[in-house]
Amino acid sequence: MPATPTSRMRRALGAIALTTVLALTGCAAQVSSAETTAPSSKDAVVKTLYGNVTVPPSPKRVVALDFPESTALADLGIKPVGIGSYTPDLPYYTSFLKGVPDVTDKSGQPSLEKIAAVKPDLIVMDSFTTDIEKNRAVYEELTAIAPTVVLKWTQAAGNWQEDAAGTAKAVGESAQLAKLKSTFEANAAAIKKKYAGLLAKETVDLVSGDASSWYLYGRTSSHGRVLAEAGARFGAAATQKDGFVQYSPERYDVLKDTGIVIVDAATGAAAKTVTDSPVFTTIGAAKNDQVFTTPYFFPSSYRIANALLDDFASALKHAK
Amino acid sequence: MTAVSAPLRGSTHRRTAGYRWIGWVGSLALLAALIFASVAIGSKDIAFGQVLSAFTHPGSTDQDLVITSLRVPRTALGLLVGAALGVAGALIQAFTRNPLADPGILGVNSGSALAVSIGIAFFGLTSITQYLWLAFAGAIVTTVVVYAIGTFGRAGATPVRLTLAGVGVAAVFGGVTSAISLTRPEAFRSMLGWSAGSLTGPPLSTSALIAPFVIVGLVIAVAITRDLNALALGDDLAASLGGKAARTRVFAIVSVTLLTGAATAAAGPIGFVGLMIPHVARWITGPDQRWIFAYTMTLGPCLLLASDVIGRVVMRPAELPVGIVTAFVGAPVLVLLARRTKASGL
Repeated sequence: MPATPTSRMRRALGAIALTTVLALTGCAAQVSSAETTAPSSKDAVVKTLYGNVTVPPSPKRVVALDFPESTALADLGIKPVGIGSYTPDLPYYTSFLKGVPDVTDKSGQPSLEKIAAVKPDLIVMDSFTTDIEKNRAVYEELTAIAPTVVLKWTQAAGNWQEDAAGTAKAVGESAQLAKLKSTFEANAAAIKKKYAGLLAKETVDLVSGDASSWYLYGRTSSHGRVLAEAGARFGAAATQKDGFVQYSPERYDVLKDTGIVIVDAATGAAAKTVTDSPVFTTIGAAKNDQVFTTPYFFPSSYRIANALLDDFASALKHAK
Repeated sequence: MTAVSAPLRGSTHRRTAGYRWIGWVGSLALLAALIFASVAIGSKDIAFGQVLSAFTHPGSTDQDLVITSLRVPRTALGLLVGAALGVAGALIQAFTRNPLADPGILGVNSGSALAVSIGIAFFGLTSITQYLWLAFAGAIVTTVVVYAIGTFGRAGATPVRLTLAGVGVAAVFGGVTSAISLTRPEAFRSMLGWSAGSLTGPPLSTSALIAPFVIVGLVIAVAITRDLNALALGDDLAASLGGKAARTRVFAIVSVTLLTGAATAAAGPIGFVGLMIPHVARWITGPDQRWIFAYTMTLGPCLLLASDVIGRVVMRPAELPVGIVTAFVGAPVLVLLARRTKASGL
């Protein structure tokens, strides 16, 4: 029996699990018409974990093996020709990436056969599903198919902004990504300004949980970073170094002085495992009705980060 | 408990009834100490005086709620589940005459898990209170299926056939459960805690809901202990001693299903208690099922509560699910027993 997995692990497990199912159900490989891009004299050079890699100037057929890259491409309006098994649950991505074949095998590892079949001219990935950093053999096999850009993975996609930047650079869309970045920063700045008074007065904490444990997220978590950008000051997690810390349900009291608590759940009903927990009901935010929910924990792209900002703004709007 | 002291006819026990009585009272005292520990020790440090005042003057401070709403419910659940799994383990080992049998061998756990996963995937259930009955129904349906498969054909329901049917059905159900849970991993977050085996979460009312089933299961178990003793001699000899093998087996299956089904529905599939506790009990008492029953009743909850308390303190401020701790605590003890006692002969 596994130890209660952390949320990060859950997501990873989820992704692996999903891959298996997709592979089992024979997720139809809809290969669009092949078109090979001739190598250009103006090939670009991108910095990767495996050194500098030469990529075609405007790749047309990109395989994005991990979700920070596939969602970054989707944000840039580029439809990849192959993706990994996990895509964050955002309707936009579900519809944008609909029909894009999953090019991983049953265990979630890159399937060389499936990747070769979609004839990519560029592969972008990080170590979310494959420990590619330590697995040079796989890297070399991928490179034999197409130039492969390996970006850094950190826990819970905490560095998604760097991955988005690396992906944009690889496909020659850095200018476009800069626009997305400034829109996101403007959104965050607007919240910071509009609710400056409230944010100065009340602390914020990000929480997820199940019946037997709960997790407190700090400013190094991907969602913590987004909220910090929008001016959130953390309460219980103020001095927390780690992305998350796991707690017993007996210890919801660490949140007792937090002004606003945001719970990882799509709806209030889904948050009940946390909000109905006996000790949670005694914390200040619960007594003052200052508990809100968002399904956008672990944002890994500007689009999800913006959705999280929207939910944060709406929480602040309803906060006292 | 007067009948309990009568030794099984023809058996040669070195240990006297008095010795067993003292041991059993000792196990009760141990259980009482562990109940106290389970209420007093946890992730949150609460002073002894505070623990008492939570009972004498229950308030709504977070400390009082930790005691009354978290630790008391999990202690109550630990008592019920521990007794249920311990006794079910002893029954199933006697029934199959296999020292490696555990309560899950008839497929009960897999049936519960399948029912819960169906509930989560197709009916949108999210909490233990919602899927308790579903898990229980799954356990019962599985037993019926296993029994039907095991009795199919002329040979009838021999323990070996039932065990094989149980293992087969468990494999199939396990596969289906995985397939369902893999389709919607996010929806299965709530099942993760359950499937690791945990006493945290279910409110006191959950214990109240499963208590009647556990009690009926225990009553059946105690009623058939004498017949199980006869059964241990083999079917032919049992028949000549007046034992009704077929009837005893049906009652044993009903009891195991009620006990394991109720325990699994509330706390998830907790391993090792049902496997190990009967060995410990046999090591202390010898092969008399009546004494084994008495000891598994007290030692099952002891193991579960001790594991739960350990799980609360080793990873502070987080907790380890009890299902994981039972294996950590139980495995070395089982290995030790196996080395010392030739696997506590059945």
